[in-house]
Amino acid sequence: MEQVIESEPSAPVVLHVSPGPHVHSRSLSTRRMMLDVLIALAPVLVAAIAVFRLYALMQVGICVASCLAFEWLFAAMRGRRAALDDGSAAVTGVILGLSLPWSAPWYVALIGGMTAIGLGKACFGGLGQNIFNPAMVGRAFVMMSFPAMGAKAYIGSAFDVVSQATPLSAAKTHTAFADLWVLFIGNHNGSLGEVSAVACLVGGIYLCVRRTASWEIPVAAILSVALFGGIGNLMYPANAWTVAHHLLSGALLFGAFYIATDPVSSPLTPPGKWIFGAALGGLVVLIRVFTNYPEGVMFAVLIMNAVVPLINRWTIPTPVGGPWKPAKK
Amino acid sequence: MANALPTVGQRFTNGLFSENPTFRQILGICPTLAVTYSVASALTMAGAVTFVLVCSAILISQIRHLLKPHLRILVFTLTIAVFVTIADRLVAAFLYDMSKQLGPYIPLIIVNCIIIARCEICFSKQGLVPAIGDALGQAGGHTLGLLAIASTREILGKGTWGGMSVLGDSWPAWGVLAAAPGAFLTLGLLLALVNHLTDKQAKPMWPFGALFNLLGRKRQVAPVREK
Amino acid sequence: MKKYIADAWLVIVLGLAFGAALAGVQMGLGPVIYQNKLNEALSRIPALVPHAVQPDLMKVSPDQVMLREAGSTIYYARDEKGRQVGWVIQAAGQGFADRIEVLIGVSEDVSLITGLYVLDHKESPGYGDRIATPEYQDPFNKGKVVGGELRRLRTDQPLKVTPEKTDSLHEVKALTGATISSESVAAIVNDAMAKVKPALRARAAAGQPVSGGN
Repeated sequence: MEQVIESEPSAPVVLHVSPGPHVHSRSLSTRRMMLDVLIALAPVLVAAIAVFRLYALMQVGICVASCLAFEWLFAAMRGRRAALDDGSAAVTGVILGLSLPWSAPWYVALIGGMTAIGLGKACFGGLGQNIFNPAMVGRAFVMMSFPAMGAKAYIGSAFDVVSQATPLSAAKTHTAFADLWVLFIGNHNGSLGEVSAVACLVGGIYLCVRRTASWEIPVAAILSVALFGGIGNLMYPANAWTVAHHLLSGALLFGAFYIATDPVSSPLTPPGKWIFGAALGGLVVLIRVFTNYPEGVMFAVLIMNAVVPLINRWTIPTPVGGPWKPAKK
Repeated sequence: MANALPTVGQRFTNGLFSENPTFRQILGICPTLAVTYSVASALTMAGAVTFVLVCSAILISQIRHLLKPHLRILVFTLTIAVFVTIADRLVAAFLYDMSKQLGPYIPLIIVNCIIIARCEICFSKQGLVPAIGDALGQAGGHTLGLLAIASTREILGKGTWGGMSVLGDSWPAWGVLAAAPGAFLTLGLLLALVNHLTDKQAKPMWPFGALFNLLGRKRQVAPVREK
Repeated sequence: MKKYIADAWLVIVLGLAFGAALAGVQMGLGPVIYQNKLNEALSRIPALVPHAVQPDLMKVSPDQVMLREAGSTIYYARDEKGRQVGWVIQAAGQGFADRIEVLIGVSEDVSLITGLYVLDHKESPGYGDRIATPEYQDPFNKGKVVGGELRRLRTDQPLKVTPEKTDSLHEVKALTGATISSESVAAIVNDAMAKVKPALRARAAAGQPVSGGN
């Protein structure tokens, strides 16, 4: 079986020709990485099931089934063998399911899976070619198509505080701020994957330790949110929505660890990853504070995905041994 | 020179299919994206473009021998602007609600590249009959393009077609398709579909290949495109 | 000179012919479009002036429902008992792209603005065309919250367009990216007020019943 490692985007780098013997590492196959992501997602899923019971399982189940089915369908339409066994479609399905609210009806999950795989991945030529994170494409599609879905889920949640008032006026008009400990442990309403900060941290650290995800991106994103949230905090110290709320609420940790680190749609170089993560965090705060949307992680990830080729170009590393610089036009 | 130019029949069918303004020339995309949220507005736009194309064809093909090369673009623009203004007034007089809905997009037909392209390519080179055939073909192709996009967007985005309920009230409207991003998505996907179906080398995609086999015919060979 | 005319005669002839054709079209279709706009304007009156009802189009001819004062068309707004409750002024002016035509609802003594409706405009889609949305029109149609109280914009001073929301009843917020369109509409309103207020006051001073004409 020829397993093409498509998820490792190969930049035009210097070709190393070294004498044998060669060690063949199995640790970087697509399948191994996807399995790691699934393992890392387990605590988040457990937390979601603990809060939302079977709704969570149903939501994630429909998304995974939908992603696998459409992966097969679109591959068949393109006359290709569907790579269902590499686990990438399943990961997309789990992330999509965890990014939806528990109350979303079944067809939202189904359509989300279809657009995630179809518009997010198959249109660009399959795994490794997609410029946007497929799960976020699917979520953006259903969120803009069925805005009532999101609105319903946020009733009474911690996030409608953010959705209705900017930090400037939130302190005046809202008194119901979520308790930080509740945000950390995860006993509150929201999208499935956002409920527990601690579960995201556990899974995320596992991913970084396994080097399946680059640690630079989540660290840069979290630092950046802390910085910009902190500036907001200093400017409006009376505001009860503090920087800690920014960090622990919403999909920030989930997005920073699981979504932004998608190896296909994030930059290749370490400086690029820092830029990517920092800009992502800045956009999240910007969208949360200044727009009508309660949560900005999805749009921030999509916007930053679009900039990735540019970041890659800015941060072409200098090869060892040469003062080579990219040709200027 | 004249014998090298396509005949009236060729002009007509080229406009409809092989030189379809929307899917082959990718011309007139501004109204295509802007007004295809509903079938009714798309048809109004298509009707206005048809009117302007046919009128320009008649006038330009009649004065084509009088045109000075360096003043021809000026004459084209003048002619188009006049017929667009007339079309705008007609829509405002008889389809007032539609005119409010389409807003600036009817006057914007003036800068629709389909029309000035046809003036340059056909109307100023051929006589009345081929010019009208060409205008009708291009207008028909444009109408087909708008109708395809608008039908997709309205049926999926609102569950209706031309205001009539198609998918029933329980249909969860895919709001994003009726909104602006839906125009880009639908145009892109339909464009890919058309390219795929007319690509001679491509192996037909799964449902379509099966369909072609079912119909018991070979794939249509796309007509050779004129340079 | 001769050379230019030899070159340009076609353009000149076409220009003249087209001008004549457009004039003809305008003469033929103008009244129809005017009637369309009139019907729309009349149908908007209840929304523009509180308590006003839609005049019965079948029974009342346009001449009876409206007055022409100071170059602006003015419609009566009456409640269901036929009492005058306000005026709707149709005014127009240059926008960013083309003429903007608006209906302005005012109270009976022309001191408060009770509504705004954009009849016709050709402002840029996505930018200037937001003058026809609540984003811009809310202060006109709903008033502004000043000190916890909803109050109407006042006409005793010209309206100003400001980049930020203010508490003043003489200021409306500009649309981001469409300052010129925003200012154009405010200028049209100011212009109409300047023309119409004296005319309506003179009308009242001359002893004419303001609610006359029906």
